[in-house]
Amino acid sequence: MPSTYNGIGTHYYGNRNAESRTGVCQSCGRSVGLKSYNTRLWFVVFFVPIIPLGRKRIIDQCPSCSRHYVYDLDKWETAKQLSISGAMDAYHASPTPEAAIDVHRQLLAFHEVAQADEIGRVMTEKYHDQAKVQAYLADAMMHLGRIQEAQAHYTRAYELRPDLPEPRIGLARRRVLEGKLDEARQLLDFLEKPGAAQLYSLGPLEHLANAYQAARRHEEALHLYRILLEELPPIAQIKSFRKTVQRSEKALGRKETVLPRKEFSLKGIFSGSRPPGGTSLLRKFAVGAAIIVLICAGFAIGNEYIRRHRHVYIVNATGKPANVELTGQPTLQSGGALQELTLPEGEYHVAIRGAAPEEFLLKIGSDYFDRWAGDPIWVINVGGAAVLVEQQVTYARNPPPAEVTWATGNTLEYFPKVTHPFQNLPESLQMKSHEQRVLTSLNVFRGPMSGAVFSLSAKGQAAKALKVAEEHLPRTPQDELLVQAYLDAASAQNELSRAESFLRKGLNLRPLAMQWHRAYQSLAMAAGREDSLANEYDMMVKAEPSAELHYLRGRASGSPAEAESFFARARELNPSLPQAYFASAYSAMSRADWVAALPLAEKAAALKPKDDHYFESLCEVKLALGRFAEVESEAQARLKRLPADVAGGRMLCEAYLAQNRNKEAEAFVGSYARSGETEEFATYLRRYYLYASGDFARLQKDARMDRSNMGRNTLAWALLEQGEIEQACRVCPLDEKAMSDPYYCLAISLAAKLAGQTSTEQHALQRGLELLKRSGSGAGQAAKLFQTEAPLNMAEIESIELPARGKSLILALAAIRHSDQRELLAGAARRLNVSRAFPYHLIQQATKPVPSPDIVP
Amino acid sequence: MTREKFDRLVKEAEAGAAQDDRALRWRILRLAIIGYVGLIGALSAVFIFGLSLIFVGCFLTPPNSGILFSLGGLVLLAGVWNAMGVFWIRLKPPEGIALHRDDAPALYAILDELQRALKAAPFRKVVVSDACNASVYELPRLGVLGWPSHHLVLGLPLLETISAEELRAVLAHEFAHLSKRHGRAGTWIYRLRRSWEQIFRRLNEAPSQQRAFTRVLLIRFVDWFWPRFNANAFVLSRAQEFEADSVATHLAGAHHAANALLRIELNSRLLGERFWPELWRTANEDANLPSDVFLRLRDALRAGVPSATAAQWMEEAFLAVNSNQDTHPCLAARWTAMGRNRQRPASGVSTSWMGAVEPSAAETLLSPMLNRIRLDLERRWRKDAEKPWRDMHAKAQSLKARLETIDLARDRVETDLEIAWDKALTIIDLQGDLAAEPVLRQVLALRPSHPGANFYLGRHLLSLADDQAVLHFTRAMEEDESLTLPASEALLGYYRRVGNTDKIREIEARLDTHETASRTAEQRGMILSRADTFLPHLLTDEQLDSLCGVLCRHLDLVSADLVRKELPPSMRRQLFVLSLHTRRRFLRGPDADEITAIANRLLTTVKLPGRVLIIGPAGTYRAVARKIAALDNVEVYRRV
Repeated sequence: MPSTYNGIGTHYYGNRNAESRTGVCQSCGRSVGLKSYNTRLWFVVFFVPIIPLGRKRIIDQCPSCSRHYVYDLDKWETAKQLSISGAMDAYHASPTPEAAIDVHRQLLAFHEVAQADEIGRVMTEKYHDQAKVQAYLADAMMHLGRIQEAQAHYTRAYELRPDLPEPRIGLARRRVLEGKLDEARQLLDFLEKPGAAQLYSLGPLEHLANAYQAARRHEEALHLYRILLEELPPIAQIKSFRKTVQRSEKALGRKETVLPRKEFSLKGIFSGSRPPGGTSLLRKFAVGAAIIVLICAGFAIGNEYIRRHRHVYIVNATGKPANVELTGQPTLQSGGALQELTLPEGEYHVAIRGAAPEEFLLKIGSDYFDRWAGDPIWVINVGGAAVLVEQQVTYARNPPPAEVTWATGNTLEYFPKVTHPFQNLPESLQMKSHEQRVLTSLNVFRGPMSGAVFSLSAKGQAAKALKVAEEHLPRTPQDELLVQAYLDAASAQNELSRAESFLRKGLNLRPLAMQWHRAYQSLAMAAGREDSLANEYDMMVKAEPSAELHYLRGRASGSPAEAESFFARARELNPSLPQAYFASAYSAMSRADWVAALPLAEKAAALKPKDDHYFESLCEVKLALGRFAEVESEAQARLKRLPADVAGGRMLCEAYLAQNRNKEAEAFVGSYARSGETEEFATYLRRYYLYASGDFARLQKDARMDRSNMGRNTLAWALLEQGEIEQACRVCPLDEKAMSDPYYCLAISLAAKLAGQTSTEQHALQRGLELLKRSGSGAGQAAKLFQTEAPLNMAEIESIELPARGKSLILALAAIRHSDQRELLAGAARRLNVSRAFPYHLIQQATKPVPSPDIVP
Repeated sequence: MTREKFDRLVKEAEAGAAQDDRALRWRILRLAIIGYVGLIGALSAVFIFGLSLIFVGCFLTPPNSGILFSLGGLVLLAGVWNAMGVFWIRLKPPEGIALHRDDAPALYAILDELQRALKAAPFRKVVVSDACNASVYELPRLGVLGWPSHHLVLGLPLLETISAEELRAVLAHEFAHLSKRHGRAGTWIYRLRRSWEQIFRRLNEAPSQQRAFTRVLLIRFVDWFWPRFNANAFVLSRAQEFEADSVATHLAGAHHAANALLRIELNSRLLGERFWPELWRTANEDANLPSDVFLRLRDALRAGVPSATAAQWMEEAFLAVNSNQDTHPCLAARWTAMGRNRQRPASGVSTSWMGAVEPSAAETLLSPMLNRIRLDLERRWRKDAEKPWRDMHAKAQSLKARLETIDLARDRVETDLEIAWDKALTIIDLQGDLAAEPVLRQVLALRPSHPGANFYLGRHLLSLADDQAVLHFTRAMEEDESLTLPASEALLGYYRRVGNTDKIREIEARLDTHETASRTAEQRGMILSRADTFLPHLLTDEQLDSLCGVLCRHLDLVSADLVRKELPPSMRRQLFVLSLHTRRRFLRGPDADEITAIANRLLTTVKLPGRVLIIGPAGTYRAVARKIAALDNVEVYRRV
């Protein structure tokens, strides 16, 4: 049969010389109008005929199932002409009844019904007394569905030859339709005789038996069924026949059946004859069962394959070679490269020799159904040294941010679903627009370890972050960022004493790790061990009188003068030690002695030009001194060198704003957003500008939907500046474990004071002071300012060394607390409040001069 | 290939063999190698094609590679499946009662002695069957690739018929085929031919789904190869039959060897034409299978046939001629080769050659086990015969009932052809041709040309060796072409029996023509081509007038040409080709559908003495129509 797929394939076009007859479709078994016609077969593309594939004669096309016979039209026509003319010739040569029947049969075979009718009429007249001719014509009429005509011929044939089986069967069929079953039976009596099946088809007898059954004459029906069973024993194995017989037996209440036992045949189930009207239920069931068995077998094979092909990876980031032995596997030598093993599920004893020796039991396995669901992998991380980063990325039109999980410190790690083990995820996937797909990669973290530690801390895995940092710090003691990250993690985990003791162990590391010492000093001072710290460093200086140790000893000093002497000595010993200059500059800055601070800050920045902090400090000094143009040009020069430099961007903003060139500042920020630099940097800069310019409404709007830390902080700033203290506290709660910034707490306190929210003010103040005390000697001194109601000593305040902004905030708070010294304290605060970073505007608001009563309207 | 062509090939091979026997062997060897190469090559082509698809798939990317892998895999799978179908054809081992060494030590002693004497391959198994024959079965363990195992089949009727000495000659003949006397190559070719004969017969059967794929590739090769190999190997095999006879003569004596051949010939006929048909005819009356069948068989053999019949059979046995359908030479040739031509039995002593000798080989060699063998064989026969016997009995009952109903109109039998013919057919089915003879004659009295009646009467008369049979067969074939095959085959059997070689050739030629014509019509579907030769129609004026009268009713017809296609002389019915020319339409050529429509209307009205094919200048036969139009004096009608 022609068929097309998406309009491409073969198709019939054309319908000539059509004729139809009523008959039974050989395929679907329905009694329908079967159609025959000439047509042409085409190869079609989108149903457009392209290539003719020949003329065809379609025979008996069923309108229901469209099944048909097809012949080559030319061969059909040739065969038709030869057969019919041959039969006609034979008939003309010898006009016998057989020859006439042959002509008629040929005409019918080739669907020449009209001509067959003509011949049929001649035959009816000419062979009126020939019973076989009449019987043949009757059969032909039945074939054409002309029942009335067929009956007339059957009757005539029966009159002529009552012994002929054909008319008897034809007439009996009619009697059955009329309900005259006994007459029909009489006509079919020859079929009931023993051995009849050897000469005749017993179909009419079954038809009669069924008619008896339908008429509820079950005795007669059963008698006929018994004859059928005797004559045709295989019929007993046909299910439909058995059911029919059983129906009559049941109606008669017979307990014994005439049916033999049904033979079971597996082959028969699959190849059994089709009952009328469709496939047998048992066969359907058997085929279905076979398909299910095949599917189950496929699943079982697939599952077994998965079970036998589990992936185990071995990573070794210890830097030393290690031998990994698994039960039943050859020993693997693990250097730095990743190694992959494919193992069947089970328990394996793992022994690691060499670096980080360890023995443990590796259990690989999962549930039957879990095998289909996940892509699990097992990772043997030698010594737990490698940092594994699992990244879960959602591919969608609007994807959520990727989820990153860190794993380190454990020798054996299990990841239940990793689609890309130790591979990079694709940049993009081709999907449907509504589709969403999640892929997970696992990789060994190769970036700066500080990033991993910061990230772990941010994810609330501070304990793990501490462990990672402690693992890596001895290897990279000069990594200042890692030291800072370690401190943050220790603070978040409230493990400052642990951090201090850890850092103490590394004080003797050489070359000397400056940041390591500084961190240690901060922790010691936060713990209130200033004196012992000074002694400790005295001994170190004595033992090793280096510039660095002098500098560090200066930091440990309780008195600014003593500290300055050590810094000076350090500069003498090593004039190119930037920290020694910056320490002095810092001290001057905290006193708002901007002039004194300038050369020192310039020298420090010159010695360490890449240091953002030094650069920003220098700019702050210059801004305080009103040297805006210099700041502007230096910031622009820096941005030219490093386009994504945060410090340069911030300082340029500050310079513009200090010169009231707000539009230029905004344009600069906007140009940055459009320049294609990192989105994070552009966002930061935009928000910095919005805050610095005092546009808090826009700032709030900008940060409202941002759930990142930066977004939350920025939103909190905007809210605080607008007096929405409670909301700000909800965004960044004071009691949050991660809250480690004392100045933020103090800023809330200040904002609450300005808003008249006393309870929040006190709470925030207490929290801020608590954190301040932990921060070091200068901070501790500052905290003491709030423990007394007595008037403050301005000289003492001046000696407190704190970052200018922090000190400014404390002074602003102090100014509110000590109203009698307000002017003095507020003035000092305003002098220090140079940088427009948060809480610049709060401080400005809190310290603005009180108008004299006489000018109040 | 036709019988005539095969006979020619055999003759050529015989002529070659007469000059140089070695050349014949080499030729057969070459053909055998070609056979192996062809068979394996055809299958290799499938494998190479499948592997090529997979190979190309290796260089492509998914999904194209997957498609090619799948296709290649399917081709390979189909190739393996079909190779299994061709090479691993399971030939059924011969059926019968296995005869072990302990059962028949005397028989095995003869077999061992002959095997040693002839240095022949041993028999894997000896079985006793119900046939009146002895034969060696070779079952190739690897299909066409060979590695045969040998089974000896001894028919109990044969053992009952001949003496132990005569059986020794028979066994010597069979062993000779397996011995080195034929030469290694000769034995191998002999066996190869027999194996391939069975396998190619299976291959040529209607294609099963399993073998259809391979058949397409193999059938053309087999059609070319097999007749050539078979013809050459046939000549060699026949020569080896004579050699085997010579061995039998040498080891058992010419007297015993020749007597065995004659006894087998006559008693086979006795069993085939008398004993078994008569036994089965009892199924008409008795629903139960008869008991002691093989004792009855022995008794029937001992009783023999009337002397006149025996004399006739004896005469016919020596009159029979060689056939190229069977490698075994005719009896006369074998007796002559054995030097026994002058000792031919006189017709008066014919009855002594019929029936069983006493003591028979069965009694001598199987004595203690003979009754058990008879019983086992009978049990086996009963098992096989049970259903056919029951069916035959049931059919007989039904036929009797039918005969009774026909007999109700007994008075019309003599006048009503239809009733007479029904009765004749019923009697033939029930009682055989002999009983139906009077009714058949009644049918022929009513219509002498009745094809069926002529055929059956001919068949009956042929069994009586009545020359009138030929007349009836001829009439039957003239009236009904479908009877050509059975009638010719019956006549062929008869003429072979009486040794009429001219008639044999004539009938074989007729069969060849008939089969070729049928096959060609079947295969081509088209029977006309431009290459055909067309002859003048030779119609009478009256017939032409009648034709023109019909044609002039079709107004679209402009002219008509009529010719006769030249057909082989054996094809009785003429084929007329009527080429129609219709009115030309503006900017349109001849329309095939229009011609077809006119042809359909003319079909039942045109009266010509033969078949008619109506064509036109459009459609499939347009080239033929142009060729006819170019001939002289073919136009029979033109509208004025």
